Amino acid sequence: MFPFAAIVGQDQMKLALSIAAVDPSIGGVLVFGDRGTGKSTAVRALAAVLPEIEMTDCPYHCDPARPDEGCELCRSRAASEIPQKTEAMRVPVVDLPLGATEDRIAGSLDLERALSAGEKRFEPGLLAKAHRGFLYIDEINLLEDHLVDLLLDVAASGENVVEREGLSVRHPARFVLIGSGNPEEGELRPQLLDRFGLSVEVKTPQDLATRIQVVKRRDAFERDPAGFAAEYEAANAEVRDAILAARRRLGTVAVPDETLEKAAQLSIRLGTDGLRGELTLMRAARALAAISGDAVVGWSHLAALAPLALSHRLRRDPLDEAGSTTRVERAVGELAAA
Amino acid sequence: MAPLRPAAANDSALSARNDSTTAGTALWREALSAVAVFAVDPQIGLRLAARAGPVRAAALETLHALIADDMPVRKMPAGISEAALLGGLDLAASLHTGQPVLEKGLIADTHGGVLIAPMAERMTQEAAGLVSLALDRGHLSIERDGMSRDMPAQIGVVALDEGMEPDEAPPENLCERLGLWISLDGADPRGESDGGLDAETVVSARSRLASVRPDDPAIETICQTAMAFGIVSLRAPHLAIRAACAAAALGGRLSPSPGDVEAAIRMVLLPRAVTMPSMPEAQDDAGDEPDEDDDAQDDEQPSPPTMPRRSPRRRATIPMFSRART
Repeated sequence: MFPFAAIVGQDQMKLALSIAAVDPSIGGVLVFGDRGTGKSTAVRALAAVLPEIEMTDCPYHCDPARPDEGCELCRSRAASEIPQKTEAMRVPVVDLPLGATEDRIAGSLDLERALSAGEKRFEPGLLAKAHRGFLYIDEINLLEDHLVDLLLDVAASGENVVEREGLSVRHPARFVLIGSGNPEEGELRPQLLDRFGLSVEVKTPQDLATRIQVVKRRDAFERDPAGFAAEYEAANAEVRDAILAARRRLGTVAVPDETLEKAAQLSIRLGTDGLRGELTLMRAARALAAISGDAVVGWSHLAALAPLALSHRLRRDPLDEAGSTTRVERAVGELAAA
Repeated sequence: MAPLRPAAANDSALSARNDSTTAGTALWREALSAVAVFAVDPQIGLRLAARAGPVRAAALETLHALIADDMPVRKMPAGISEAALLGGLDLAASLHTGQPVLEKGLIADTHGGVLIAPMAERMTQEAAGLVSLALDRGHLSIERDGMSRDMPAQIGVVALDEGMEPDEAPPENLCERLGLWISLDGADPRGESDGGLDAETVVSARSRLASVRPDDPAIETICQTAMAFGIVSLRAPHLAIRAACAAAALGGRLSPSPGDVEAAIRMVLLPRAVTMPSMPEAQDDAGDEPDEDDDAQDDEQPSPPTMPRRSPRRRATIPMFSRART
């Protein structure tokens, strides 16, 4: 896998992914942009810089510290005070490949058991695998609508309910949805856009020196993937430590009323729908403060993240030709001056 | 009405010659060198613009002769289903053995070989997406029919582009990942059908390829040229570097020579050009009518300050095989 630390530039994309790693509750990241910008490379590289988490030995790797949010097995064990076996694992990053069928996404009848033992048993799917981690969909605009609906529903409720093949199962499935795509291949429905906490628009680097560096690293990686990864192991470990440290700090970062007010003013000025934008902006700004080692969320954090948290929530304005990111940046500028 | 086809590497060879026989032979040679580069490193990918006919048949015959004997070669029908590409549950075998048996799909079945897609302009975007996934990752994750498998899928793809109208082209997500863009339009294989290439040269080039290293000037020239052509994606220069290395391996060199770099630029970058840097010969034709046969100027415009997003439009050109048949 291409090392996260070896990705040249693409700071906004790396920032958005790091924020989601620090606070999964920000609700997903959408990466949209040109072909050949390394969107999927960055997402897949993320897996190697994620910290380890404690998990139970149940099929859903629940959080031993929060049995109330666990699966049926974990809850019943907690209720009868049976000690849980736990172990550490890397935060999962699950790739949802194009062509995946609904039965494998949601989980289905365990075919092997059914055929060999005549037993009806549930085989967890990709949503179970992604619990407490990330679920990545490349080319999200090519995904069939009924699968998109399923993913959105589970992402919003945090629970996967399976009613099929005579099975009736429910299990927790809280994950950060990451989608990437190319706007030329069709736009996403506004309802879908709004579900993502942050959206990043990636562009190919425009200066020659950076482009040469990107191509050189890619070539070196393809020649010797293991050697290249080893070269960046220390740098990757640094990113991992930074994410872990920010996770620990997150609870202690203060969000003053003044900052909340600014976030609200920004949303009102832009006319974003609902409160989701404000809430995401506030959470993302807090994660950024934790990453930067700041104790208090301030205007600088809001200003840096407003385009990522708000630009995909704007209503189309027929009188304003400017792109949504430009509109957000303008509003940030006006508010800073006010 | 002249048929339309995408710009291709060997376009410039045509305008350089007046004698149509020589021009036809030059085009054919250029096409063959691209086929040889592909045979050395199939993962570079090949988009071959040509209508079905004796010239294309001759090109494919050369391809078959040059690729290794043990490489699987599979055809991908334009209307292939997702299930056939990816594979799925083999119901009969599963019931027979009492455990789920996976039937390999076309992509995984082509691992280590070449996938040929005739009528690639009819390929669906979804099918192209699946092939692209294999090209990007070299393996395939199957999550279907209650099965979860990961299979190697290192494939070389040949898209046979028979598109005629501007909107008839293989899906862009696939074209983006295919390095060599070649047209057989006007190519004349008579006289030297194999272009002096033999399988032995390709075999030894393939074994040399792993030790071929691009030097910094080669990488820089290619990146610079891609930018001057207004090519946004970084996959194009990356594929051009691979093509230059394969060309070097064919020539028995351990590092691409300026000639190898030039060949890679012609085969990979030039056909994708959105803007043309001003060149002396470009100025000669500046006064021509826009619908003139000579197509090198169609997309020419002063370089804009930012790079355009669109890939090159198709251009009008000479009827495809009229020259070759007479």
